[in-house]
Amino acid sequence: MMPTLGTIATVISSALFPWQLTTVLAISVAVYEPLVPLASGLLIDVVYYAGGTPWATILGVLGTVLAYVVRGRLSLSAFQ
Amino acid sequence: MKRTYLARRNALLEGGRPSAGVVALAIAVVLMLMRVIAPNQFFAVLAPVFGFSTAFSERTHSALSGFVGSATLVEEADQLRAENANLQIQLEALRRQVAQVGAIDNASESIVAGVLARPPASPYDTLIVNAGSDAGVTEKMTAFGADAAPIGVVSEVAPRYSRITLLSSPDMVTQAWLGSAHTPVQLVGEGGSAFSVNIPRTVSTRIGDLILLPGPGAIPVGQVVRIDDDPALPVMVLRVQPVQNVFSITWVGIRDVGATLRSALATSTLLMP
Repeated sequence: MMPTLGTIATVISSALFPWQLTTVLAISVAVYEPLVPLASGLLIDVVYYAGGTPWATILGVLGTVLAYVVRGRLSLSAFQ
Repeated sequence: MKRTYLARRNALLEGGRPSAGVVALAIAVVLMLMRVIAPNQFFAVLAPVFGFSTAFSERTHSALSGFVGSATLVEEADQLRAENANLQIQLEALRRQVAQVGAIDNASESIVAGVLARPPASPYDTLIVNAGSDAGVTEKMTAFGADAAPIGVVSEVAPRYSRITLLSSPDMVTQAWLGSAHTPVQLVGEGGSAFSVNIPRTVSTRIGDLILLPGPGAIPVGQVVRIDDDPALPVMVLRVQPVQNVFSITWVGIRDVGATLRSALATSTLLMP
């Protein structure tokens, strides 16, 4: 439930709010939904990109890759 | 007892259904295709979203301003006094411009466009406005702020919407003049509505000097607010603040300008064919 709400908030923030807030939301949700950084970066570029380097998409790809790496290394059990 | 802190699960599928991240990515791809195939419909879909964002920002600002302390109010008063001083300088520059031109050319009327999206919501220093090719807007037209200061160049046009790349956008380089001596300089966009100018240490300058666009009238586009002077370097870096606050701009005037001004503006790789 919370990852879904976080994803919705990040998607909305990509179009409505400054990219700094979108970045914080995307990082917060990334561990549970690794594709969110890529989706939010792509959304920001789709709406605001006007030529040059698509930094939002590039950073989104990096965020997604990092999220997958973190998820792969998190232990399954924190309490044993 | 063993407790699972973070259950390993498929990041793409949850119980046979696509995850929220996959849905968000699919939405982004659909919007990207819409922007490429039907840009006018794309902006028509987003226009209400931008309007909601602007209204939300204004209401939030109104609500939060009631909690402002006296110290902040004093700071705002000082800032307003500084802005008033800047406006006096701009007014003087405009009076000189009128004196040089001699008369206002009523034939060159601007296309007035409302701003739908602006920085900081837009991270690339761009504006999205609600005037497009149907209103006569074409690429490479110049956008002007409320005080007749050029702020950007039209970079994308749809039938009813346009995208304006601000002069402060990264990688935008504009030929300009510095101060009353009209020293030729290059105004480099730094993003975040800021500029920088590199000048030799032999050039005389001071905080408050205007940055002007070359050509008849010498239109002011910015003002020097800081000088980074490292004795180890042969140049000084001037930090320039634009005369038009693009974070709160609501209307722009778009028109085609003369060859001199256009050549000064179109010196970025962004605008190169």
